[in-house]
Amino acid sequence: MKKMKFACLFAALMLMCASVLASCTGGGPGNTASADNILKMPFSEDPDTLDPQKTTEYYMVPLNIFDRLVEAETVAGKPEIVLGLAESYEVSEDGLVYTFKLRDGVKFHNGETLTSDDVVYTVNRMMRPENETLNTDFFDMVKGALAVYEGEADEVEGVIALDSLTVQFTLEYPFGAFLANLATPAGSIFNRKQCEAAGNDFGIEPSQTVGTGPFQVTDWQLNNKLSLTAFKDYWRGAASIDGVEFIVLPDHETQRMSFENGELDVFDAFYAPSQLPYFLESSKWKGNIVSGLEAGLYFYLFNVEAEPYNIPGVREAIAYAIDRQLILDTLFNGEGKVVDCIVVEGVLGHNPGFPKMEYNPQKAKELLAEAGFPDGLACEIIITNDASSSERDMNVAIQGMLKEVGIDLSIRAVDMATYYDMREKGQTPLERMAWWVDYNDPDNFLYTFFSEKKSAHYSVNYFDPEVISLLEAARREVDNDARLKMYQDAEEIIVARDHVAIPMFQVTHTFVLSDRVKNFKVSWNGWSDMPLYEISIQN
Amino acid sequence: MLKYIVSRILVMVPILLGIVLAIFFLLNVLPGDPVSLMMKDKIKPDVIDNLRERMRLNDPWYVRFAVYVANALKGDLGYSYRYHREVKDLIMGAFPNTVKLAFAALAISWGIGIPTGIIAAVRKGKLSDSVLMTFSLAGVSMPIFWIGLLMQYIFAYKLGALPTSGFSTLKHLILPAFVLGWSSSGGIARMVRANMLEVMKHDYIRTARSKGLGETRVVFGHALRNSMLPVVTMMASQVSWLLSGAVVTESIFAIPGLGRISVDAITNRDMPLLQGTVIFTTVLIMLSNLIADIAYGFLDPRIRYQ
Amino acid sequence: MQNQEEALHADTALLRIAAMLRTDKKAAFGAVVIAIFILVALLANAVSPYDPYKIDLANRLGPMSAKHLAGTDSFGRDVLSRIFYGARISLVIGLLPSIIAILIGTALGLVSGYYGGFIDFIIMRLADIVLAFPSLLLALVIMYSLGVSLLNLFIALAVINWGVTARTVRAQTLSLREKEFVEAARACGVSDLAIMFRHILPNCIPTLLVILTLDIPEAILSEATLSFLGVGAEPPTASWGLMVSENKQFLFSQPWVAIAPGIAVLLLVISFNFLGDGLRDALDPFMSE
Repeated sequence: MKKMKFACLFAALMLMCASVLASCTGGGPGNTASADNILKMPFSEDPDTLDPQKTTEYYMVPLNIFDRLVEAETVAGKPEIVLGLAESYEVSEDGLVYTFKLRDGVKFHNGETLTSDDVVYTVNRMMRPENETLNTDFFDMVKGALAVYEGEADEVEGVIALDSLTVQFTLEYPFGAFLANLATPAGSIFNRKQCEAAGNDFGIEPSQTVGTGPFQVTDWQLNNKLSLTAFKDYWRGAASIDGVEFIVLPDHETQRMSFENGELDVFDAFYAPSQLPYFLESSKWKGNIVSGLEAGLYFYLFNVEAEPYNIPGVREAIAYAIDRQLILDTLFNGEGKVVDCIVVEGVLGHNPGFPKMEYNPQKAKELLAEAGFPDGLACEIIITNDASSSERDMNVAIQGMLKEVGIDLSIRAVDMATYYDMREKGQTPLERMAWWVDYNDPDNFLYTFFSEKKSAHYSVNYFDPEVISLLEAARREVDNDARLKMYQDAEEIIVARDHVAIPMFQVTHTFVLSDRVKNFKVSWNGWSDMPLYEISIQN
Repeated sequence: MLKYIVSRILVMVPILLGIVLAIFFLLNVLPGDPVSLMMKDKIKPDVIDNLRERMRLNDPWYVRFAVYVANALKGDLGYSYRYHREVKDLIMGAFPNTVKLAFAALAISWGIGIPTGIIAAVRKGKLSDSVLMTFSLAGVSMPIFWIGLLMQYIFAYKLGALPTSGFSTLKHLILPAFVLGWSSSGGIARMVRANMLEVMKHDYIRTARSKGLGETRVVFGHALRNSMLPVVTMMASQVSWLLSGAVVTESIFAIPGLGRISVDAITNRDMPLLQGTVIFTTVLIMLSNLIADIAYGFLDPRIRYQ
Repeated sequence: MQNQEEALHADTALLRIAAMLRTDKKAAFGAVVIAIFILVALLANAVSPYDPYKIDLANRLGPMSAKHLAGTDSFGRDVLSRIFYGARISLVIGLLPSIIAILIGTALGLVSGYYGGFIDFIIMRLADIVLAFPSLLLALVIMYSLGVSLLNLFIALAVINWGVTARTVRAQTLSLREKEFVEAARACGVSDLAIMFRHILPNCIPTLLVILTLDIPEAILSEATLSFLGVGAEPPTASWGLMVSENKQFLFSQPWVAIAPGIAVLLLVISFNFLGDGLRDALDPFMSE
């Protein structure tokens, strides 16, 4: 009797296992290169949302499912503002009024037609505080935008529909980078009807997340894959590929293996520079490599009020003690270039004649002795305990180099709560920063870290009156050359005179492609996120 | 029997409350403001205040705990700020995938562990005992992340025999299930072997032998049946082991399961999601304990009357 | 008289262990390997050819050679030296929290089994709670809320491991409590504390020894896994788990750098498992008492 019961139980369990196994069969073999017309790209993690007003990191999908009034297109490796949903635009003499004429008959994925009301809605949606949007910076120079954000007004005064296809923006002050701002993913135009109906599901539910872009979201399985399908009624004509599948693979070695197995069409070497030598030397792959210099910078940022970094000589000594080329060669396989300034190559206002900084440990020791530390000193850098491996590695490398000149750098990992608390109180002593420009303007580098408000925000505490007034004046200057000169002057004071930041390098963003992918272009800014409309597949 | 089951369930309730309280305490009461952790620094202070209000962070912890338990009973586990979704929906989306992985791994661990244990016991002290036990113990002794990586490298990359990762076909399940199953086969093999050896010392086995029954019949007819009982109870602790192991296995092989979202929740400081997944997983383990207890009582009547 | 009985126990236990080590080759192998690892850990600064933290970017990812027997990692650090130093972390992480967990578990189990009643109920429900958690997840939660550091790792591993000990010791105490020599001691007016620690505890030691040898490998694996997931040891610490996670990117070009630390984990953990199995076989009669 007991035997029977046991046999039954055992059989039932085995049956359960078998049925579970059977339920996941189906589909083709896993590791043969696919012959479909769908581009397969890796994601290291899922986007938090596809709504570009509510994310500051995940722009790949928004760039491809939405359009903007104007677009930042890469022409010969340089960014250029080209017309998007706007057919034409005019800027007033004083740089305050922008009038856009929209294309007629542009369809959203839900069949609605684009009107100027959609543009007005989009700007208002961004500024309403109850929407908990994160990218308000891109619109806050529009007249009355901040009033809405502060809850003092219901509608943004500075954006109005003149007729169903004409929309006019009025700014608080002439802002040179306004068009570049509109061309960022945050400037994506939504459909009022769809957006209001979708509520919080916008950006989450594939069917609710509707734009005018070349692709529409058809499926999103968290931690597995996100599928886009070409939009047949796209105003520039349907894309040549049938769709894109983003496959979520957190591990970069896995990404490489999947790529070589034919499960992916693109290998993004940005997160796995150590895999590059193999591809560069492989006869199979070296012809399939495309790359571009990133408009981004790795740099170290001091808190000029924290000891011992409050002594300029110490900051300068640290700058001399770091062999940036060696770190670039080691951690990034030499793919990139050492940079002395903040506004890197590829960004408007880059100064090629910026004073050079060389690696000179001897000079570092002298500077330390002059600063009153002939026997060296101890100092600290803060990282958060979820810091990326590249950040950790860079810190470890620098720790080793500083030791050579007698500086004992300790790396302290704190949790995020402690970190934000310290930063709020202006107590983070030294940080490794990485910044990629959102739009092509020096403002996005310099104002972001060194304006009066932001300098306190990032716990830099650098309040040089000259720098502050230069940065504010540059924002309001209409003459472009004069404006860029102001940024360059400020940059020179910050880096070459006061050594508040140590620029490290800008790296090359390299992609390896499968044989069937054609017409893959790296964006000027070297983003992993790029328009995929023009890519084609030849099996 | 019914009384036994009811009493087991009643014992579970306070334990469950204790577990929820423990997790809640660890995640809510210790220093660190969950909102400042979750929100990017770009957001406005009064938005943060609203959020704190909504999460009831301004209330004392016992009020929050009561509200959390009340909501959880209604199936509301809160809202994930990393994914902008209901925690419940995220868990329900991930759970079936973890179940598939766990059952496949269970099948493999029994498939390795039980025969290994039997043969090792029958051939105790011989070379095959040594080799087999070493093999199954090796599974327990290797870090899953390491052996997973090596298997991926060898079978998917070097040999191209299996897909590296992902989760759509049976083929995709083989490597992760094997890695996870192997890692828990050692315990099974150990237990089967020890029980077989124990049982085979008993009088009735000697009697069976002396009656001239073949060794195969002795082993499979008598010894095996009686030594399998504890394996059923072991299943409960195996579920715990498998769910722990799934955290790493799912990360390595990119399987969209519960383990993945709990690691995601940690790296993104998504407290409601972490809280939800940990509580859900723990409830799952307790339920499997309960089932094992009941099954054991069902198979071995002595237990019920103790 | 009771003391003699217990002394006899301890002696026979040691004799059995010695006999087991002579006959059980796997257990003997385990013991030898563990001894070697302990020696290496103690003498790490003497036996390591290089400073494990010395960065030498010019010689990064060097192959196995006479100079660097296990090659160098991506910072040019000597892998062999790092493995030697890693033995310290793994052994300390394996031993210390396990011992703390066993001390906690033993104390709670003794009290629980000896007094019974309400205290017993509370302690056993606490044990149920700890045992119901998937251990890795509980460790992750603890590390999440306390923050990443080696000390917190100790706490996490100690907190999650005392349940089994408490249950086992309680069960043994329950049966020993009724034994004549305990009754006799109680009749002579020996205090409860003395009975627990002088009469009951020594009888539990063989069991505790077995639990310890089985807890240690689990703690070592947990440390490696947590470090791999980024919530264990902090870089640049030479921890085996961390070394695998740092070097897995070189699996394709310098496989040895990623594989070697894993082999170290495997060797040490399987040795503890072999020894634990052997001990359990040898001490079985004591445990079933």
